[in-house]
Amino acid sequence: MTLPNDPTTGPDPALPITTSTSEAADATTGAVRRPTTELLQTVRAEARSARKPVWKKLLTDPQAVVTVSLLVIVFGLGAFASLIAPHGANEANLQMVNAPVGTPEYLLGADESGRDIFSRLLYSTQTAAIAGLIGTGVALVVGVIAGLVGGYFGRATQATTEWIFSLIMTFPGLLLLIILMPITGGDYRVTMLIFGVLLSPGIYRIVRNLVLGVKNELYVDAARVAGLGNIRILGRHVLFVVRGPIIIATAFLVGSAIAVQSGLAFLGVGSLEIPSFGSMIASGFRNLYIAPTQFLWPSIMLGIITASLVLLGNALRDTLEGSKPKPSKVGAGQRVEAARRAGAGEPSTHLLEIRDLAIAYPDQHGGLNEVVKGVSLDIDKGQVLGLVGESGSGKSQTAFATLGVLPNEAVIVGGSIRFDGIELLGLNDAQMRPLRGKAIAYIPQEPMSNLDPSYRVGDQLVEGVRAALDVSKKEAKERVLALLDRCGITDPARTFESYPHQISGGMAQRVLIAGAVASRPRLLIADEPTTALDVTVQAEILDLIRDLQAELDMAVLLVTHNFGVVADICDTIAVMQHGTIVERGGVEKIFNAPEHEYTKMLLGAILDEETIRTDPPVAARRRAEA
Amino acid sequence: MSNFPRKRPRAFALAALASVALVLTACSGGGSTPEKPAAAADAPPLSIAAVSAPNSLDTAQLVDGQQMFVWSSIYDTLLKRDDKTGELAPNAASSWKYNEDGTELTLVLEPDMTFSTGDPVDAAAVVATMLRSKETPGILQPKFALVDDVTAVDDLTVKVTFSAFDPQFVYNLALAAGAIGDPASLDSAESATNPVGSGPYTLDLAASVPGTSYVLKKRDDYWNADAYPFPTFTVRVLQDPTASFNALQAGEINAATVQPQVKSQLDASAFEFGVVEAQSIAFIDILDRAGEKFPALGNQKVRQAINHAIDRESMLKGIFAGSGQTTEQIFSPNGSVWDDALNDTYDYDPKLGKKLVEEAGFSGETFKIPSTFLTTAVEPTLSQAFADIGLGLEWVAVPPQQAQSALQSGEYGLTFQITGYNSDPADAFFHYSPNGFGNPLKYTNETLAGYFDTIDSTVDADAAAPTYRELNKYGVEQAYEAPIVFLDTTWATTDDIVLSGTKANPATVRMFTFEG
Amino acid sequence: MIFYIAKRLGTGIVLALLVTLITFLLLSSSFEDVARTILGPSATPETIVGIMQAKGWDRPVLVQYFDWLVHLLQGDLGVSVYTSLPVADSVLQRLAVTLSIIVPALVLTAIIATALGVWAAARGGIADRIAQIVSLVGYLVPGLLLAIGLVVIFAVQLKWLPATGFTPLTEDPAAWVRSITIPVIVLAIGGIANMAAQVRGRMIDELRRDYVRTLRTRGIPPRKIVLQHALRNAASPALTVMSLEFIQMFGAALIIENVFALPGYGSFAFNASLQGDIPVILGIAAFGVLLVVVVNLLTDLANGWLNPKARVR
Repeated sequence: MTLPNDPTTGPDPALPITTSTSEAADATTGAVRRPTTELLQTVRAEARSARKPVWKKLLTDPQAVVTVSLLVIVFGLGAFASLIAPHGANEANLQMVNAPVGTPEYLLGADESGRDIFSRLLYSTQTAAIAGLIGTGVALVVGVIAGLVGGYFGRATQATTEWIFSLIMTFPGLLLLIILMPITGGDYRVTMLIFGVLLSPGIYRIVRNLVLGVKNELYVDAARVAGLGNIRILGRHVLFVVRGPIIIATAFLVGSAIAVQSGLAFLGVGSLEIPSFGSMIASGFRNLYIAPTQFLWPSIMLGIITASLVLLGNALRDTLEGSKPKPSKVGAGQRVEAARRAGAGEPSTHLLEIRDLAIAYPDQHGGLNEVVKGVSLDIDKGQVLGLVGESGSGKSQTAFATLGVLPNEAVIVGGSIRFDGIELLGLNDAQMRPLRGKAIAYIPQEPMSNLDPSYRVGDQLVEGVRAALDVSKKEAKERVLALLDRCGITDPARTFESYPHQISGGMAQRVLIAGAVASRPRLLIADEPTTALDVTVQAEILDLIRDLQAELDMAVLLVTHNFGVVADICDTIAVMQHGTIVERGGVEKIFNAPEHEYTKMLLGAILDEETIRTDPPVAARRRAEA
Repeated sequence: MSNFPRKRPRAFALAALASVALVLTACSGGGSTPEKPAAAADAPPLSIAAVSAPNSLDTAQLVDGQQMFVWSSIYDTLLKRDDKTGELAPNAASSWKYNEDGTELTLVLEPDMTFSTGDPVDAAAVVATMLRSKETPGILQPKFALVDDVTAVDDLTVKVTFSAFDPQFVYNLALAAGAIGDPASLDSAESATNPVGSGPYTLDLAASVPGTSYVLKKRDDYWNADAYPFPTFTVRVLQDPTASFNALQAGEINAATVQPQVKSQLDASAFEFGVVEAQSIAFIDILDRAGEKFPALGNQKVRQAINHAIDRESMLKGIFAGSGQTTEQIFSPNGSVWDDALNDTYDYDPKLGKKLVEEAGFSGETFKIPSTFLTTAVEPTLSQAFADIGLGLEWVAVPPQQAQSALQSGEYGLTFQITGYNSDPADAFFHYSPNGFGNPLKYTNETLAGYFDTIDSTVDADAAAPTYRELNKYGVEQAYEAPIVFLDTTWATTDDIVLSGTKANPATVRMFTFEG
Repeated sequence: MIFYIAKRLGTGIVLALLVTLITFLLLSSSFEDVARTILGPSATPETIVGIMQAKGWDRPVLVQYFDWLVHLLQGDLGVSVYTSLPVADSVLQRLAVTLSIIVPALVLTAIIATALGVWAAARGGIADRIAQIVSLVGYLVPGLLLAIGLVVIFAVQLKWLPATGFTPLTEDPAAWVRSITIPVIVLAIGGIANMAAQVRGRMIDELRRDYVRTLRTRGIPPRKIVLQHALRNAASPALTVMSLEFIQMFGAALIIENVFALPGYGSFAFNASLQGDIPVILGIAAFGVLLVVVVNLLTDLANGWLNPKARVR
């Protein structure tokens, strides 16, 4: 019999639990990240769903509905066992020993002592329920209190609780319960109590991590300042955050407790008078060759209960923590609705031609919500186009669509993107390969999250270079070092050997830029390349991009919300608002004589060009104070 | 109606004509029963499943039961039980004789026996082993309780002197008490794990996994090598009946006990079945016979009511698959005290039982009774039976290591046991003697004391027989126990291996013989 | 690094000592019962006291524990109260048996679960459905049922695999593989069900990360991104799951050992507990704790290798 797995593997004890999928503040640089359209979509969906009460959400999830129904039926039957069961749990009738299935009054047959299997199943369910309750209850009480205490109060307390729970965690659980048999006398309630204590470290970890995460939140500070006592804070604010993962863990814990109790009963620990799945399975196993089905019924029942609990836990996690998006084939290419694709017709005259591009995301009700509504723009060889607009206007979406890396949920509902005459929409990764990294390059917005944290910087760059160009490893390394140097990194060799978390944000961005230009691309798509950086670094990066552009004669699609950047290096501008281009034109013309209302408003919002900000961004200031 | 087996006349001769009897037994005793010349070269390795493994192989710590399969192959015992008749027969001791009052037992050893080291087996070895077992606290020590001294009269003659006649003693010489150890290594550190013996096999420690499987290799220099056809003897510990059945079917072992209901699932052309009759007895042992803590149990009517409450036939059929026979007495049909007539004493009559309990004034009493792995199958039935007569049973889970103290503590009024057959004197002692282990609260009364006085002073088995029978009758009337069934054991064997007989003999390799 | 390992092992040893002390204290009440069991039904108060004195059980508990400790430092874990076999040897022998079914089961689980999880996450669609069904079946099918089925088919009918028993690797590798096949499969099924879901979840998360997108824009083939980059980052939490799985499997192995008559660690502990064989129990507890500590240490080290951020400087 296999035991279902540790409840702490439900919500991962190693990673901190986030309560939503969007992170407003970047943990590494401290800079506030501008919300993208994608994020906005997610947040909007979440906000909508947050307004729905949890139980309603669960109702819509078939997995939750089925498992909860099953469990309610099963445990309900168990609770009313005394009313439903035709016989007592230990009522033995010698004439009925090993009676087969379907004997009148003995629906599922009788066991080796002549006891009705159906009745015993019902009573065993009761035992299982009690076992689950005791085990889980104790684990929750001990774990939650210890986690709150350990997480909230100072170092000394934390160290103590850590030690105690490490100790508990290293007890080999089942073995310990067996070793303690002489003491417990095998009484399953006492055994479950001890088991509950053994289960508590998982809960402790979850709670402690969450408390640690929340402890320094501003609203907790505010509460402290307002004079609320610790208990009140713990109770109200902290407990609130904890409830989601705890509910999830509970489902797994109950399954675990039931399985362990069954295991022990199977081995013969404990009173034989108490009906339980374990003892039923054991006697069925003994009689396997005499009456094979005796073994089946408790096994199936136990299987249903534990499986349902695990699946319920998963469903709860999806509901309470936000469900994972469905996986889809990596490299399959963007979803394009063929019906509405615009035809290729005229030959293309520009390096990059975007015509009537329309991108949509699925909304809650199964329909599509357009975020890019017919965008058209051109870029010529060596030309720098600034795509300007507020957050959420759809600029990055346009860029991603060009690269072919829109998220899986996105659907292109119309338009065409042609690069050098080649239609890009509808190509999969294999087909895009000749272009990506070679002819078309990309610089992302957020440098740290765009580097693989497990690989050295140099290795990642070498990998990219070798994917784009057919060179040996040695040669690639030389190129990379040269690039790093070109991109302004002072000690290229050291950076080459470093891991992403060991370099600064500015250096990371330079690394990414180096990687992008390694193959001398014809089109560089830069997605807000300076937004996530400190102001002083921003200027340097811009200089770098400008120099590289001049040197390599690259066309650049520069997505930005910053007119200063635009003024600095762009030739043409396209202004986006709510998914459409509202104005297009040469940079001087737009700056001097904007036509559209929106453009005017944006330009008007720029701070006085005489004023240069000298104060560092908010996040950096906070770090300095900490 | 008495039931004397045909062997009686011979035993009578033994008592009457001492010296002649010696010769007679030597000639016609079990040790030299004409045996087929064993086709030792043809017999396959014997591999059986046993439910328990010996904890220790130290001669002072040997335990009877299925554990004997292993140690009896390593150690020779002085006497053995005949395969076909179950009678006590010579083995390493070619003859034995008591004096008049049973205070001296003389054993003559077979000549030219050797230990596996090559050392000779002599009286000194027997003396050393016995005295050591007598001195060492353990399970074996009580078997020597009445032994004053053991001496070597000469190289091959051993004299055991007793403080009083012990009717069980010679029977024990076919069991652990009769094992002969090698004085040179008795006290070595390895005596418990890799001992030296003079038995037909030696333990191949390298191939064995203690607690799991034991591989025994035959000794060609064993004095009676021809009587043991199997070149190797492997004992595999398989506690679970399904596991041992699987192993049997898969050909991993060639002999195992099987539950009778599954016989049909074995290929009848490949397997033979043998039944050992009345190997053990299942019974309710009333512990508090004096009624000290449970006055109800001190009342004969209540005890008789309990006997009426049990539906022996149904239990035999339902729980024990019909493999055995019902009984209302504890003496075994394998012995000579058993009286068929006594089995009509207590009909299954719960109504009568209830009436008796009410008359005695103990309706509604509940008794605590230990719950162990042995009681699993019967708990519901027994609870039901007691309920039927207005009494109650409260099953209390007792871990095995506390079983002993639980019984001796006086906390439990009765218990359910299954014990194996040894001999009539052993049964008498166990169940009714104040020192018997089935009587841990040491109950006795004048009548019982009287019976034991006679039994313990009558050396001749025939002369003692009537007393045993009276004891049996008394025991049944007083209902000190509620015997339920004698259980048979069914063995399934293959590869032309068969059971040597149907008698409930000790678990030794002699149980099996080769028919090739 | 060495210092780190030493520190962890040191903490582990302290933990093992604490656990054994607590266990010893808890079991000290049963010395008398053990004495009785050795003596059998003929035990009298005098003989009980005699045996207890002979074995040193009448001394104060802490003194006895200290004595055990002193012997432990000399490498002597004592002998079994009943069989007189040295505890250390028996424990190691039994542990080897259990490990020889758990470790292959874990490896099998890791390989299949990872393959399944990655396939489901990187393919979606049918692959995802299949993985979910496999998980569901793994949860639902009782391991014992599967074990019986496999034994009946492969051992009893076809006689390809042994129905019971264990052949040590050192004795005969081929026979060893046959004797562990069914137990390993049974153990692995449950593990796979859980781990596949975990791996799938992590991979889905990982594949949505920014760097994956950036790697795609570099023209690196999807297969390489999935297997080399995403998987490596997803592996770290999966390792933690595996170490928890390892400890879980000890419990499941106990039941399997019962069914297949394998002379393993769990059944050893069980029998020792039933009999109150205290030296053996202490040895089992000590080894058990050390095993957990070592496994945790190895997991952390592996994590460190996989995940540079988690490395100890």
